[in-house]
Amino acid sequence: MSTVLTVDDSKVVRTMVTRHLQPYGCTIVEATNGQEGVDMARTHKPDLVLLDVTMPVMDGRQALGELRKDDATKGIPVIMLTAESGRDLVVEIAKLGVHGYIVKPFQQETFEKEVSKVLGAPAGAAAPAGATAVDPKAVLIVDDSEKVLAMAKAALEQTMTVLTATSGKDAIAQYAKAKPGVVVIDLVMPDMDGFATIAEIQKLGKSSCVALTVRGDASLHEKAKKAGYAAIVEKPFQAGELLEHVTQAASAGASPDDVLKDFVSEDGGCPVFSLPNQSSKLLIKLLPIFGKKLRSLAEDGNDKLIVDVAQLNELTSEHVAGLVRLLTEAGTLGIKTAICAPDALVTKLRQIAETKDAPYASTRDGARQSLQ
Amino acid sequence: MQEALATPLRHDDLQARVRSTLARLSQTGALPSLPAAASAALALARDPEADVDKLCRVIQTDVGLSARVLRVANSAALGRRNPARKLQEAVITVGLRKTCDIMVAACAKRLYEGATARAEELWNHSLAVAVAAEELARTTRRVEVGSAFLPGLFHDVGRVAFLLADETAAEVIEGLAADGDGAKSFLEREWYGFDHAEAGAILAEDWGLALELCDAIRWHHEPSEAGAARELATILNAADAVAYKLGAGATLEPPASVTTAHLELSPEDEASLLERVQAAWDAQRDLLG
Repeated sequence: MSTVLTVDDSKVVRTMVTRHLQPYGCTIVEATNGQEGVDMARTHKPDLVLLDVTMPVMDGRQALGELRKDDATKGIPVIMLTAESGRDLVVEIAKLGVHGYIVKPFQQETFEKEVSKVLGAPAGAAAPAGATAVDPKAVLIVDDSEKVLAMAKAALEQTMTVLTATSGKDAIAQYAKAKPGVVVIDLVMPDMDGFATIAEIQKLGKSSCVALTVRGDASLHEKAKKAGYAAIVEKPFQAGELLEHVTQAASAGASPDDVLKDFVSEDGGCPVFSLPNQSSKLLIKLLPIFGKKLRSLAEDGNDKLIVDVAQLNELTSEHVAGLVRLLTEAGTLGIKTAICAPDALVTKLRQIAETKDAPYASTRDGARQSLQ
Repeated sequence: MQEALATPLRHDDLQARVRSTLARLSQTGALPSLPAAASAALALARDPEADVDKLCRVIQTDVGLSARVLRVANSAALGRRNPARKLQEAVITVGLRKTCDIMVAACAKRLYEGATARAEELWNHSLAVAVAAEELARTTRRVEVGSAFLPGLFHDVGRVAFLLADETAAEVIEGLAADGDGAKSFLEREWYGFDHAEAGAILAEDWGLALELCDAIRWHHEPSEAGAARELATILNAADAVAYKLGAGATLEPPASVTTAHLELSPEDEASLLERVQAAWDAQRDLLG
C-alpha cells in the first residue's frame, strides 16, 4: 500500500486531499508546515508528497530544497499545491524538480490526473483503453428529421467527419462502429428518444453529447443536463451556433494531446502556439495545456516561441489575459517570444502595458527572423 | 493559502480571480448565469425610463411569467375588485418595481432547482431573507423599502455558485465549520481564496444588480465594513438572523455573525415582525410554487 504525505497549513486543504485520495486506498500522513513535512518525509518515506507553496515556519520552496538535499528523501516524487495567485512561483519552483502542480481550489478530476501520474490510476477506475477511445474528429448526428440532418451536416462537414442516423437504434449501431467524439441527439424522437439513446451510448464509450431541442422548453434543459448532455442547442439553430457547441464538446472529451494538435505546431523548427478564435471556454481549457507544453519545451532546451494570433477576429479580454499569461510563463522559463499578428491587432496590443514591448511580425517568417 | 489573506487584492484583481476560479471549477467553463428575462428585469429595475409596456414586453418573452404576475395581481393581498385579465392591468396593480422583483425571483429559482437538495434548501433560505429584508426595511425605515428584496434574494448566491462548482468541497467546509475548525467564511477563503459573500457580490454585479446593493451582499456578515451600504448590509444581516429564527436557515446553526441586535427592536416588535415575515414568506413560496 502506498503512503502519501500532505503538507499544508490549511485543514480544509488537507481534508480535501484526504477525500480525493480515498479511491487510491493509500495511507495518508499529514504535516502542517514545511519543517514538519521534511521531518515526516524522513520518518515515513512516502511514495508521494503533496506540498503547499505558502506555509508558516518553512514554506514549500525551502521544504522542497531540504528534501532534495537529503539522500534519503531526494527521490520522493513531489506535487506542489498552489493558490491561483501563486502560479508564477510554481514555475520557478518547478526548476527544483517536481512531478507536477495542482492549483487550489481543485476538483477530483484535476487532482486524480496529477496524482495518478505518480501513484497510477485508482483501483477500479481504469477501463480498457479500447473501450473508451473515441475519434475526436468525428461527429454523429441523430434526428428523425432529414431536414435537420441536412442542416447539421452542412454546418459541420467542413471541420469534422459527419455521420448521421435517423433513429436512436440506428445511432447505437453507428456509434459502436465509429466511436465519434461527439454525438448530437434530438431529444424528441419516436420509439427511442434522446434520453434512452444517450443512456445506451454512455454504456459504449465516453463521447460528449449535445442535445437538440425545440426552443422554449426549459424543463427539458434540466432533464437533459441531468442525463449527461454537455450542451443543448435549440432548433431552429444557426450553423455557427451548432458548430461552436460541437467544437467545444469535442475538445471537452478529447485528451489534452488531441486538443493541442490543433493549436500547437512548428514552423521552420520553431514551436508555434495559436490562440483559438473561439469562445473563452476553449481558451480557458487550453491555457494550462499550453503551460505544460511550455515547460516541456523549456526542458527540451527550446528558447524560442511564436505565438500566432493572426486568426483572431477580435481581441477579447480573455484573449489578452491568456496572451499575457503565456508570455509571462515563457519569460520565466527563459523562452523568447514573438507574436504573429495582423496590423490591426498589433495596434491594439501595443496599447496594453504587458504586451506593448513584445516583438511583432505580420507573418510567421517575420516572427521567426525577429527571434534569431 | 496565506497569500490570499496577507495581500489585500485590488477589487479588479479579486473580481477577475473570483470569475476565473468559478469558471475553472464549473463543468461548462461558464459562470452561473440568470435566465435572460431576469437580466432584462434587473436592467428595467434600474432604468428610470422603464414603463408598463416595456416591462410587459419582457414578461411575455418568458413562458410562465405572465401567469405568475397575473396571479400576484389577483391575490387577496392586493384586493382588486375585478380580477385583472390583461398583463398590463396586472403590472399596474402590482407596481413596476414589485413586478421586477417577482420576475427576478421566479427566474432565479431555476438556478437552484434540480441542482442538489442543498441548493433547494438555500433557495428557501434566500427567499425567506428577501422577504425578511423587505419587511425590516419597511419597519425600521433604515433603507428604501424597494431596495431590500433583491439583495436579500441574492445574498447567498455565492454559496450556490460554490455548491454548483463542487459539492464535495462545500460539504467539507460545512463539516469543518460545524466541528469548530473555523468560521465558514474563513474556511471558504482558505479553499477558494475568497468567501461566499464576495463571490455573491461579484456574480450579482455581473448580473446587473446596482453596485451599492452588491456591496451590501459583500458585507452581509460584517455590516460595519460596508461603507455607504452599511444600513442595507445591516438589514441583510438581521434578515439572515430572522430567517434562522423562522427555521429557514442555510445551515442548522446560525453563524455567530448574524443578529437582529443592531436594530434594537423590542421583544414585542420582534415577535410581530417574525409573524409578518412568516406570512409574507408563506405567500411568496405559494406564489413561486
